[in-house]
Amino acid sequence: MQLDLTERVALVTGASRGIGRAIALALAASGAAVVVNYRGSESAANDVVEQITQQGGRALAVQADIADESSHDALIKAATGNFGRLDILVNNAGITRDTLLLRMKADDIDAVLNTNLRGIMLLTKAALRPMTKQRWGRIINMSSIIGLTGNAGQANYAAAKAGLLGFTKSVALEMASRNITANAICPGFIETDMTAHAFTDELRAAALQRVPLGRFGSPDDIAATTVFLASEAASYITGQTLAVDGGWTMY
Amino acid sequence: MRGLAGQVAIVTGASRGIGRAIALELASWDVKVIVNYQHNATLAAEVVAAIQAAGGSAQAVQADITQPAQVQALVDTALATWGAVHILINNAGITRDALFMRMKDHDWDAVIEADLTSAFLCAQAVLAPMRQQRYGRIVNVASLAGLAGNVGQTNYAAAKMGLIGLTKALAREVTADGIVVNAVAPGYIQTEMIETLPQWLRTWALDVIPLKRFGTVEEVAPAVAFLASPAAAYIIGHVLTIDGGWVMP
Amino acid sequence: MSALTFHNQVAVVTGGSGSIGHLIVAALAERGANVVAGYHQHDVVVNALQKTFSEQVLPVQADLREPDAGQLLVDTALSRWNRLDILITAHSMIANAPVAEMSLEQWHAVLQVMLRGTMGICRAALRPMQRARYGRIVTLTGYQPLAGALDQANYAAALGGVLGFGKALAREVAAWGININSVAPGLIERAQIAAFDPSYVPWATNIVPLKRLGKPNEVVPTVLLLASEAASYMTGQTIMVEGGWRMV
Repeated sequence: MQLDLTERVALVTGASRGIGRAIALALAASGAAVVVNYRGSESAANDVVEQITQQGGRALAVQADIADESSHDALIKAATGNFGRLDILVNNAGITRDTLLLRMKADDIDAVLNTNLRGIMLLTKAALRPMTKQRWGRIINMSSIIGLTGNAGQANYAAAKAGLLGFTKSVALEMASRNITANAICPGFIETDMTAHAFTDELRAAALQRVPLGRFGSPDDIAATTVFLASEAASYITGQTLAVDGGWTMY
Repeated sequence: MRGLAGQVAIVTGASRGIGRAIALELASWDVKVIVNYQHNATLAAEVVAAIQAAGGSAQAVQADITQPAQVQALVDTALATWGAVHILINNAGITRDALFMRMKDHDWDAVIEADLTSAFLCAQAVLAPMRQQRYGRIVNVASLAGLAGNVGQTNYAAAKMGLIGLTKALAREVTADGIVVNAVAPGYIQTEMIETLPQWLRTWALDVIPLKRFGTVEEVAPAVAFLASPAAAYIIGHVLTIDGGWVMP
Repeated sequence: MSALTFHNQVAVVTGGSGSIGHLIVAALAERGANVVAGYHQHDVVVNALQKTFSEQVLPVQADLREPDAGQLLVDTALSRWNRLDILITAHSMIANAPVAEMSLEQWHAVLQVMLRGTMGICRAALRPMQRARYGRIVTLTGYQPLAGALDQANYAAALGGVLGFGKALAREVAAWGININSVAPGLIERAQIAAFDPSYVPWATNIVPLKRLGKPNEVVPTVLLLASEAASYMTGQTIMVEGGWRMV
């Protein structure tokens, strides 16, 4: 199995923390050079870069808000300019603005859709240019099982994540002839800094009832699947949705 | 694939096609492989020889896996030879295609037994050793025909979607014991089975597959190996479609 | 959309004495259909149906383990009413056990009734439907093959088989105006849940957004829709009636 990503160049959005960080580290461990995008957490992003370079890898931290498309060119150029190409785009960055729909402000909807859907669409479009020239590319979109099942208090987030699945399939269809695949991962409940603070014990217990495996996932679980999809081993897999959720949905 | 080295796998129907590729793939990660076959000893021996030539360990074991006693003997051979079974790949399968109204009962029954009951029996037989070591991976090779249906394959679609039902039911039962159960659903893959399709069907299929080509067995095997590895610990009861973008369920 | 009426239509319903099946028989008869109610046990239930609907409901005992049972039900409908528009497979049989303890007999028994029984009666029903160039087949399946279920590997495999079979068959017979769909109920208040682990029902009830089990009569309207002329552009589908349990 070709899991070796030597000579490959990846851009991972939202890579300073949590799942994105684990993905950046795993791609680098497989040999890829990684552009570590972050929005606010500069020192955390620098830590990721340092950890990669200490182990002999290549990485670069680049600040950008994915919702702002004027930053996209710089992100793509960070890959092509510094590392000569862009092979793998992992659209991981995302935000939440949770509240019941009845209380949801237009701003809450716009902010989530702008980052989690519109921003990803435009960044993907920008990334497809070098990938098309290379005739090799991997788009990996971090959706969520919330995009499959919905969730109370996350109407905006669920809409964006479900939209991302439709987007993934369309990109897969449009780019198949260029040897560019597009797939989505739907993480279940993953243990990160964010979820550690955001959920009460009661919520966690309720969520765990739904997970046959009886535990929450780790960022490394998602990273392993990302590396697989990014590799030559997944060359006939496109337009797919992989649920990494401990059996929550049995999708 | 980290963590596979030294493990023991049983691959059913491993003398040809996708099963052969899975056996070779697992062996390339230093997995010791039981190469199960039913009829073709020569081809199975060639798979074993190829693995051994590359420095790996493999053993061919004949068994009709619709028969409980032969399934038990298959698992016992793995345990006796290498002391453990970490991975079961339920790959063996047959087709007996016909339009439904012309399908003979024995062709229906043969496919259900060979493609579905065999997987139940094999899974049942490996549960005890996997539970004892509190680790196991079972990957069932289903088919896009099961998810989407296919003209002339009512029996095969029933067996393969039945296999997906088995995958999910079993997944729920055994996760607590460290045993992970998943399925793959290959689309049109370049095998001998494909060669038997009429030309118009091949042309049509190539037209509707976004990647504009059939998959290769070498493109299915890595997905199976991934799901068979420790890395796939949080993927449970999932059906991974490998179809060049055809269906996108 | 045509109203959900079935005047002059003829239906065969298997499992016609079951928790859901007997409601389907009654609903079809109320809306004008003539119905052969196949049953294996509980003749009291089907006899009551016949009393209510007199000429419209004809109970026929048939054991779907027998190879000719499907043909018998279909032939009865044809000889009595000379046509067959609708087949609904609502029979159910479970033999629960963990995989590790499930006997090959338990495995085969459930596959025999749920999968092969369904296959057999579909084959019998297709001949008159093809001649008439019209037919509706609705299989009652369940959440088990889609979501998994404890101690029901045989049932999940058999019902998964029905789903795969139905999709393949839907492709084959679409040209004759025959549509095949499935209704997959979630956890419903029915006889078979008595066999479940006692902790299972409270657990599932808590997870289902509607916070209760479904009632058998909540499954019926979807079955009727798919059995009607209104479902003319639906085939090969599986519709879950599950209180929002999975939503996938």
